[in-house]
Parts: sequence; structure tokens; C-alpha cells
Amino acid sequence: MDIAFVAAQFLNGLAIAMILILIASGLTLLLGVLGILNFAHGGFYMLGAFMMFSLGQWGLGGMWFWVGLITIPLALALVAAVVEICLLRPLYHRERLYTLLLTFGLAMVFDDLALLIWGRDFKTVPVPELLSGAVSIGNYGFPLHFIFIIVVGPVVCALLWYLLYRTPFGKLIRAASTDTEMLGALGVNVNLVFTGVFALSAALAGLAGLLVAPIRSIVPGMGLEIFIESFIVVVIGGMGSLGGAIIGALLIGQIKAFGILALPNFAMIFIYLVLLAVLIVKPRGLFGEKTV
Amino acid sequence: MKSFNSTLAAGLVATIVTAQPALAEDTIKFGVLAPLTGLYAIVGERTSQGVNLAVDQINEQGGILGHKLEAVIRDDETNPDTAVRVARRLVLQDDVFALFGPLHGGAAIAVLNEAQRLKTPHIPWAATEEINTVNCSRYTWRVGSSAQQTSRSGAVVAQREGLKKWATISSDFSYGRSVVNQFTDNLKRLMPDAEVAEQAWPKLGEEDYSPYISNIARADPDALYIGLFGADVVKFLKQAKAFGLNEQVTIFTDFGGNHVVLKALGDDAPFGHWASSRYLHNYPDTQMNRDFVQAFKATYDVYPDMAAGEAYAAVHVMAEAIRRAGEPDKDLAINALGGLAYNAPEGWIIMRPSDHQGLQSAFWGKVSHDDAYPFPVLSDIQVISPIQAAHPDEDSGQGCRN
Amino acid sequence: MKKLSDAAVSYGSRPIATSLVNGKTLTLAGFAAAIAYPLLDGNLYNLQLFTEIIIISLLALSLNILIGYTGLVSLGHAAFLGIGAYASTLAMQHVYPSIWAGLTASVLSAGIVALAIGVFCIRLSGLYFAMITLAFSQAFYTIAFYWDSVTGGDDGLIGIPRPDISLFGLTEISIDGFVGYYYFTLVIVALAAYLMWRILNSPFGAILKAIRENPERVEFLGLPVYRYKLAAFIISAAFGGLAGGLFAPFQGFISPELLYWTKSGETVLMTILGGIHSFLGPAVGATVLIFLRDTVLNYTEYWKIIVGSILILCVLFAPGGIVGFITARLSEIFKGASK
Repeated sequence: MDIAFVAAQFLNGLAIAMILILIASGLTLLLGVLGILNFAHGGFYMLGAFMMFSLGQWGLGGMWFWVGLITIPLALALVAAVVEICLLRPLYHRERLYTLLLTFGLAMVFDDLALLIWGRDFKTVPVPELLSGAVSIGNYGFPLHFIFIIVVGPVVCALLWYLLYRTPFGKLIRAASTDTEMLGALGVNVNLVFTGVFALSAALAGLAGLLVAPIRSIVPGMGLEIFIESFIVVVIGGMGSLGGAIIGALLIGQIKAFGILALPNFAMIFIYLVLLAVLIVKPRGLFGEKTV
Repeated sequence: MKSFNSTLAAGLVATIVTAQPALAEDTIKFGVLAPLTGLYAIVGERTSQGVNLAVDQINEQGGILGHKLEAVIRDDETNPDTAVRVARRLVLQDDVFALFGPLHGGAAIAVLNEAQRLKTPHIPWAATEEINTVNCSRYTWRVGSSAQQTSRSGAVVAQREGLKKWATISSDFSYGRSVVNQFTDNLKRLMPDAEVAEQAWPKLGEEDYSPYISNIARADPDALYIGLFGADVVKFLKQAKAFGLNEQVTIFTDFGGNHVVLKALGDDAPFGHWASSRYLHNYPDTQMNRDFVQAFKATYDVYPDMAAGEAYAAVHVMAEAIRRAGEPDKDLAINALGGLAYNAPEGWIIMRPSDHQGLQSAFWGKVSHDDAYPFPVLSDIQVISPIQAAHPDEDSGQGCRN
Repeated sequence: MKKLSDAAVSYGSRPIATSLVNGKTLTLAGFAAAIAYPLLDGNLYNLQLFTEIIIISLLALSLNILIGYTGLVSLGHAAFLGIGAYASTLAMQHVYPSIWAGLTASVLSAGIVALAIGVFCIRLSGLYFAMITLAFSQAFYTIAFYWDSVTGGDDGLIGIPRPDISLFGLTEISIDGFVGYYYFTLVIVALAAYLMWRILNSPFGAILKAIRENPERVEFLGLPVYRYKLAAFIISAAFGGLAGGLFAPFQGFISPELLYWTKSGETVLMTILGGIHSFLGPAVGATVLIFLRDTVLNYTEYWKIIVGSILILCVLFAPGGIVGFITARLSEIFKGASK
């Protein structure tokens, strides 16, 4: 196995991991702060890709991708805020199971809405001009767009870290994840924190969606598989742990890249085998706090 | 936002049309299963358009033996259980004369099983070979080419091009495996010194093929056979181009020549590489094909793709079988299907009685620009006759005993 | 980031309503209506739709042994439906062509598999339990998908028979037709549901409920919580397997799709939608969801947007599921009337 090939596979795995990180970090925040599992999370990923498709159609003087990179996450944050205020807020005092059911219904609605709005054609978005082309690693090409994804991932993680640990809002989020009731008793508007976290998670998922729009398929239902995959990443890392989600995603990315060399026929089951192994050995995930 | 409005309108119209109550008793109904939602929704949309166009034309010409023809089109969700439920509804409730579809191989086999139980003629869209081999049933006949015909003829082109060292990639499920196995099988028969250096089996619907692409590049083959289907082939070809794979190997893609794929890819299409489609809007240049393309374009404002061409032919073949039977009787129509020949837009189709497969030529061509069209098309078409490509019928498993 | 995922563990915290308003009378009336139905409506499609509803209701009821009674949300319950379906098919096709052989195989195999994986699953709770059941079910899905020579691979198996049943060797009854299989399913599911009800209303069922409310206290009382949970897991799986054993001959074919996690998700959905706090709630959920989906799908392929919206409305305005909603409204009416 030549070194250039190993490097190429490593980068492939890294790019896969970055997308998973963007989606999983939102999921783990939702679990940690709001205590909900959001089945519609993949829906925001899907909407991000579809919105990028529309921007690509309009062109915007060649600036479509860069405009979308900023505006789509903001737009989705807005949509998510409305969803949280109208649909989720009335449910916080009820059993969590009903939130699950609601987000499941929401995921169904999202899928059909996308089909109704954007139609059935196979949709493609060109790779943005600035990022088209590839660099060579020995005999292997590696697309600039993938490099861009690999750069965006850590940048977003750093921003997220800054937000959580260096801003007053981050302090509230962390406090809410430890003790929501206490926070409420201290006079903090907990609802606002919840809305903010929900919007943030949707923006992150949408960012992942718009980043992959030029290289993956843009179809209704694309959010479901990635949702379950990212959720597995979250569980492997330990639910509610941001660091765990990042490590879990990096692990899954590399397993996807190198696993096909060892077991070429079992790509379908890799991620589930890892999940099983982790849950049997460390039932609370790699970075979960206590074991049961 | 033109596409928004027109799709919305199309969706609503489709909904209203399909919701119409049953017509007079003497209409003949065809029950159609198509994937109108999910990954293959565009294939389902073209399928229903092909069916509807054929039905309208048959009715304009006086119907079948004086009976009006009606299509009842339902979503099968690309799921075997839904497909069986819908098939039952179409037969038991809507009283359809024949079932068409679905596209998904496993679902088509499940509907084949149900059609046998309900004693209803059945023409599947799925190209999986097991329909005509181990599972062959009296009631199920396939009009479109089988997957093996397409991929075995790919090997004929490979031999002509003298490409020896191969890699393959296909989704890891029965259709995907059989496509590639038929290709490599025929390749080794035609070129005993051919070598298959790398075989990649990503899961169906894989989103990121990059590890597979690097792995294929490592094997350094002359050519790559792509057995991926639907949206999978679109994203694979995009990713392969981004990785520069198009410059390293000659690509063969058996679904990639389909118009909906080439149109979606646009500038990202693998120009100069080989692709196939079981129906082409620009070949053969016959009166039949020109008329069909013109009528299709006039009605739907898009070009017919593979699914549209196959669906159109299937409806006509079944209508012709009823005419030959002399009355709308399911068993007589089945008897009339064997040996029936129909001049479809893609050329003559002959229904082979031994395995219930419609024999027709396969087309492989090079992806290229054509000033006549605003999207990539196939040119340098290689026509491979069924004798060159398909299994001899005595090979086809148990064969059909009826 | 601190973890608060334990919040997820709190799934299910209300007491189970011990009975519906006149639960017994309603149930018996429903059963009588189900027996009379084929005589009143000759529509074979509706009959086979009701057959499916009855089978899937059993699946949802069996899942509720975990969700409603033990407080464990499984995301892999469809695995038992699938294992039961494959076991009964293989038993009928290769061992002995009798529906009883098929049903026995389905119950036993699902129970044994549940015992084997339950040892690992039961240690976990909340979303971790959901995920480990998901992982195991996906492993079984993969086995069904790849083990071509036995399971037929992803194409599945077709030509599953509905052999005649013999009553004490006296007479043979055909269940091959739609009517015959409807009655057969109805009787088997009714018996199974009665058995399940007896189990859940025994001291065993009471302990399960106590475990859901407060596992520490039950542990403190000296009862082996782990074993009780494992028993509930196995019983739930066995009934799920029975549903699979009935489903395979009903469809006439089986494919790995039966075990896929979305099928499990769907089952969780109908269970919660119907109401986890009453015994028959999940059956109501299954009926409503299957019927709704079938009706909407006949008019438009955009059924998801309609069913999804209804789901959202149900959650917002019918806390406690459909049965909980109806029970609450009925008791309001009765209270109003008695004043």
C-alpha cells in the first residue's frame, strides 16, 4: 500500500467526517440542552442542499455558492426558530416520546414539501468555479471542494467552541444543559436559549447540506440516512458530548475510508458494528460520563 | 421559479387525474406501479408520462377492440410491501386487466408472485434477470431489455475497443451484482485474456464514493464498468469527475446514457466515454421514434427518457396482445403474448416464449455534445443484437414451463 | 458540554389507565364486529387490508410491552417481525408444510434471538437502549440481505404457502383465500392478545410497571429487575415473532425490508400514536395509521405531507395518543352527564 494512497484515503475519510461533525454537533446539542431527539434534523440538511440547488439555478453572477454559504444557514435558523416556537415549545412539559413523534411527522412533511416545491428531476449543482479542479497526491486526484470541506469543519468547530465557552449565550447554553430548572429559577429566559440552540443546530445541518450539494445527490429523503448515521456518531461519542461527537465522526470517517479495503462486501454494516461494539463495551459511549 | 410552478401544477394535475372515479364498465384498465416518490421519483414520473401518452394515443385510435383504455397509476414507494398492497388494490378494487411495474427488482418479484396468485397479466419495469429465470411465471412478461442484455452487450463494445484491464463498481444488491457479473462473464468469454483488477460494491444509495474512487485509481485499470442505477450514477459520475478519474480510465456506464441522467449532469457528464440506455430519443432515426419523441415533447415539454420509452412500448404490447386475443380475457391475452412482435420507438421487440423476455437490440454510445440539443446525448451508437448479447434461452434457469 | 441525555431516560412516566371506559364491552363489541365484517362487506381488498391491520396491531401491542409497560423504547422491534417471518417460511418450506409448524418456529426463534441479544440490550436504558436494539436489528437485516442461499438475499423469498389447517384430524379447513386467512388471523391474534393481557395483568405485569416507575425501589425490594426486564423483552419479541409468522403467508413473500429500521420506527410511531397507556391503544394506532395511509395513497402519492401533518396535530392536540384523547373526552362527557 503506497503512502500516497493511504494519504488519499485518509483525506477522503476526513471529508466524510467533517460533514458528519456538522450534523452530529447539532444533534448532540439538542440532546444535551433540550433533551430531545430531533428526527427532522436531517430535513434541514436536505433543505440546505435544495436551497443551494435553487441558488445555483439563479447563478447570482457566479457568486451563488458564496451567497448561499452565508444566507442558507441564516434562513434555516429562522425557519427552525419558527418551528421550535410554534410546535416544540408546547411539548416541553410533556413526555419526550411525543416530541419524537412530532419531529417524525415534521420529517415526513419536509420530504413531501421538497418534492412538491422542487419536483422529481435529478438535481445537480456544479462545483463552484473557485473550488473546481483537483490537487494531486501522487497518482491520486483530490478535489479542491473536498479540501474546502475539510477546512470548513474545524473552522466551524472553533466558532462553536468560542460561542459555547467565550460568550454569555454559550454560558447560558452550558448552564441549560446542566440544570434547566435552576436556570429558569434564576430568571433566565430558558425558552430563548432553547430557540437559539434549535436554530443553531438547524443552521449547522443546513451548512452540511449546502456543502455537499455539488457532490452528492439532492433528493427528498436524503436526510433520513444521514440523520441515523450522525445519531450513531453521537451515541458512539456519548450523547450530549460535543467532543465525543467530533471523535465519533472522525472515527466513522476513517472506518468508511479504510474499511472497504478489509471487508469490501460489508460497507452497509460497518457503522452498526462499531455502534454495537461501543455499546457493549462502553454502554454510555466513548465519552459518556457514567456507565450503567 | 418556473420549475416550481410547473411541477406544483403537474403534481396537482396528476393527483386530480388519478383521483377520478372508475369509468364505464367496458373500459379496460391497466394498473401501473411506479416510484413517484423517493430516490427514483423522476423515473416514476417519466414512466407515468410514457403510459399516459400510449393510453391517449390508443384511445384516439378507437381504443382496444372498441373498449376505452384507462391507466390507474399508483406510487409503489420502491418498497416490496407497498407494491404488493397496491397491486392487490389495483386488481381487487379497481379491477385492472393487467399490472405494470414496479421498477425495484425485489418489489417486481413480489408483484410477480402476487400476479400469479391473482391470475393477472404483469409487465414489470425492473430489469433484474431473476424475473425471467428462476422466478419465471406464466403471467409475467418483460417488454424492456433485461439488465443482462445491456451489460453483456457492454462486453461486446469492450472487446471492440480492446480494453483489457477492468475495474467494476456497482451497488451491493441483487440487481447491481447481476449487472456486473453478466458483464464480466461475457467479457471473459469474448476476451479470455481480460482481467478484472478491482471490484467495488458500495451499498445502495451510498452518498460518498470517494474511498471507492481512490481505490479504483490504485488498481490502475484501463476501463471502469459502472453498474450503478438512478441517482447513484449521477453522484458517482460527478464525484469521479471531481477526482479526475475520467482522465485516468475509460468509463462504461449502463444506466448513465439515460436522458434524465445526462440532462442532470450537463457539463459534468463523462464526455467521450461509453454509456448505454435501453431507449434513446435520438436513435434509431425512424419515423416511429421521431413521431414518439415529437408527441412526447408536445405533451410534456421534455424529451422521453428510457423509462418513458419502455413504458410506452409496454402499454402497446399489452394492447396488441388483447387485440390478438380477440376479447379482453386475461388468459387469452397471456397466450397471445408469446411470439408477439411490436415495432416500438426503439425498434422491433419480439416476446420470446421460452423465458417471457422481449428481445430487442441494445445501444451503447459515446457521451457527446450535439448542437441540436441543449444537453449531452449519445453518439457513435453501437447496436448490439440480442443474439450477440442475451443469454441463449436454454441457459435461463428453469425456463418458463407454461 | 455537560450531558443531559438522561432526560431521554424519562420516556414514559404516566400510569397506565387500567381499562378503557367500559373497556371490556367495547373490546368484545369490536371482536364481534370483526367476526361479522366479511359477511357484511364483500370487498376482498378491504378484507385483506384488515388482515394486515390485525397482524400489525399484534406487532404494535407486543412492542408496547416494552414501551408502555417497561419504559423501554426499542428501535429494532421489526427485527422480530422479520425473524418470525423468515423462520415460519423456512419451517413451512423445508421442515413441515403446516401453518402450526410455521407459527411455532416464528415464536421460538424470535424468543431465542431475544434471549441472546437481550443480555446485552437490557443493561441499557433510554436512548442507549433504542440504539443498541437498532444496531442489532440492522445486523439481522444485513444477514437477511446477504445470506442468499437461505433467505433469498435482498430479493427475498416468494411462493409462501397458506397450508390447510387440520382440526384434530377430523376436517381440513382452507385458509388460502382472503376470507379464510382473515378469520385465521383474527382468531390467532385474539388469542395472543388475550394471553398478553393476562400476562400484563398478572403480578408479573405489575412488577414491570413498578420497574418503569422506579427501578431502584424494585431493586431495593429484592426483586431481580434485570431478569424481569429480560423476560419482558423476550415475551415482547415472541409476540412480535408471531406477528411475523402470520405476516409471511399473508404477503406470500418476504424480503429484508421487513427488518429495516424504518419499519421499526413505523411501529414505534403507531404505538405512541395510539397511546401507550392503554392495552389496546397501539392496536388503534396501527389501525389508524395503516388505514389513513392506504386511503390517502389511493388519491395522491403525497401522502407523507398529509399523514405527517395529522401526526403533528395529534401530538399537539391529543396528548396521550388517540385512545388517551378519546378516553379523556368520554370521561368529560360522562362527568358532565352525571352532574
